[in-house]
Amino acid sequence: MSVYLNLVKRRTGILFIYAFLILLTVIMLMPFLWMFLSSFKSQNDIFSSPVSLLPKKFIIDNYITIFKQYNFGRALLNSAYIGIVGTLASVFFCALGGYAFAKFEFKGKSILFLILVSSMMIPFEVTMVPLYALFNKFNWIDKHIGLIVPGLANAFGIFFMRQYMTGLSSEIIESGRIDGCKEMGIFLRLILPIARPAIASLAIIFFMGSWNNFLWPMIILKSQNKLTIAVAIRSFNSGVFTPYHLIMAASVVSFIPLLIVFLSFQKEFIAGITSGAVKG
Amino acid sequence: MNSHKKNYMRKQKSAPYLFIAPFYILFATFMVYPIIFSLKASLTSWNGVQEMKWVGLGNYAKLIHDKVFLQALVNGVIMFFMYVPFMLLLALLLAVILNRPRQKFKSFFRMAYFIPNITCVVAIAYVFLLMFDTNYGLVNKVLMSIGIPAIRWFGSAFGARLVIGILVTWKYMGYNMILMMAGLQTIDESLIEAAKIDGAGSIKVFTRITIPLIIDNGNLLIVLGTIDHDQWRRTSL
Repeated sequence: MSVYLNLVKRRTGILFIYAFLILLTVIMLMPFLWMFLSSFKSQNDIFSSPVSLLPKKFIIDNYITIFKQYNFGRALLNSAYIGIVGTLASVFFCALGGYAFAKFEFKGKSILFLILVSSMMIPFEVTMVPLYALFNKFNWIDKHIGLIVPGLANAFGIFFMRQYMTGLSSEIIESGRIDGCKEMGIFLRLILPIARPAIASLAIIFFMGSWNNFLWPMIILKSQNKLTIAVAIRSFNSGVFTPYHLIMAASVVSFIPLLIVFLSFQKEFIAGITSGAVKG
Repeated sequence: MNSHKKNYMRKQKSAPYLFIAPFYILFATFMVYPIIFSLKASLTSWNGVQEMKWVGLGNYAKLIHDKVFLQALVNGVIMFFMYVPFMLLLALLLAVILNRPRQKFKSFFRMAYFIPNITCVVAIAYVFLLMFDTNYGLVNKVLMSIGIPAIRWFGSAFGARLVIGILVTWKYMGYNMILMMAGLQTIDESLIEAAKIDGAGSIKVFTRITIPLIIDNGNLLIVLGTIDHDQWRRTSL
């Protein structure tokens, strides 16, 4: 009897857990569904009663408008260009720095590493205003280079690569030295290929960060044909009128590439974000 | 031969400095210089164009009497307490549930909770503005269907803060959950087994073993949450 009772109790417990997980899944995914379905509604349809999830009439005009009138394709290209170039270059410099911290002994190493780690705690907002003045001097305002260069060697990336490379065997490096390779040669020919999994993780984190980046691009980009997706979406809002139907369509378009990248590299991405934060 | 070797050793010594130089050059230019500049400018009266005029601590004196600034500080504290404890607790609960050995559809749930994290905040802000709209939003429609009258979410500071808290929780809960799941995996399974043999129920195991052991991780998350959610992994400016 009591065995039977226990079984019933456990079953209801498990049922309750699954109900909770499923309800939460619906809540978490609802904004995506709402965004997707709203992108096929007209502005009038979005602001009509009674509220319904499905469009009264499915239209694809919103998508046509953002590409034809708002040149959203250009924004996609800009974001892809900045994302790819910036990611490749910064992954290289981070791997290089991480390698130095992991596999070399040199004077001042610990203090330099401390500076690197503490620099992660400085909020960007603190440096924003003077940075604008500095970029003005460099003539980097309204240029994509202003988005790429400052992020080239970043503290998190170096820290991340160091964590991974500390685990690599030093024998390969030694054998390279005996064969007479230059230090840079060892890094390019021996270290980079072995570190591929970590590089993939970091590249995805960088690319996603760059794709969604908003604040700094909004501050320095001015011309319509230079905007990245996040700034372009913001620019639809004229201040007087917010074209939600177009914003929803643009949001869907900008989310799809990211979703594809995420789904194809899910494992690397999750491995990347966890290895940075968990001890041991 | 000897001089060749010496030369080689010297090169090997300079290599690490060369390898880390890019970071420190960028750090000095784009972080240290702006911070020093900010400090200097904060002690002057300056409109961005004309010469700076030294005013000492005058700006700071003005700031602590500035109502908007003080309100912003208060808002920061309120926002923190509004969602950070709730979000971390929910993340921990889900991490423990999804970490159970017989959990089915584990990777599906994990992905569903994590996916908001990869969204662009600008796009999502507009989606939430629509969803929480007083007359045409989904949230009020659902509330009304269970008999709760329509709420003007953006009509009061509290309502607006609540929506922001919901958005941030929605975006970052899964991210914290993933970190906690990784933390849970470092917990020694035999500790939990031993406690169960000694007759501890799952709630007791959770409060007496899992939580204390995960707190190490939790501390880190609270600190990160205070500074800025994706500050630590901000990749480009």
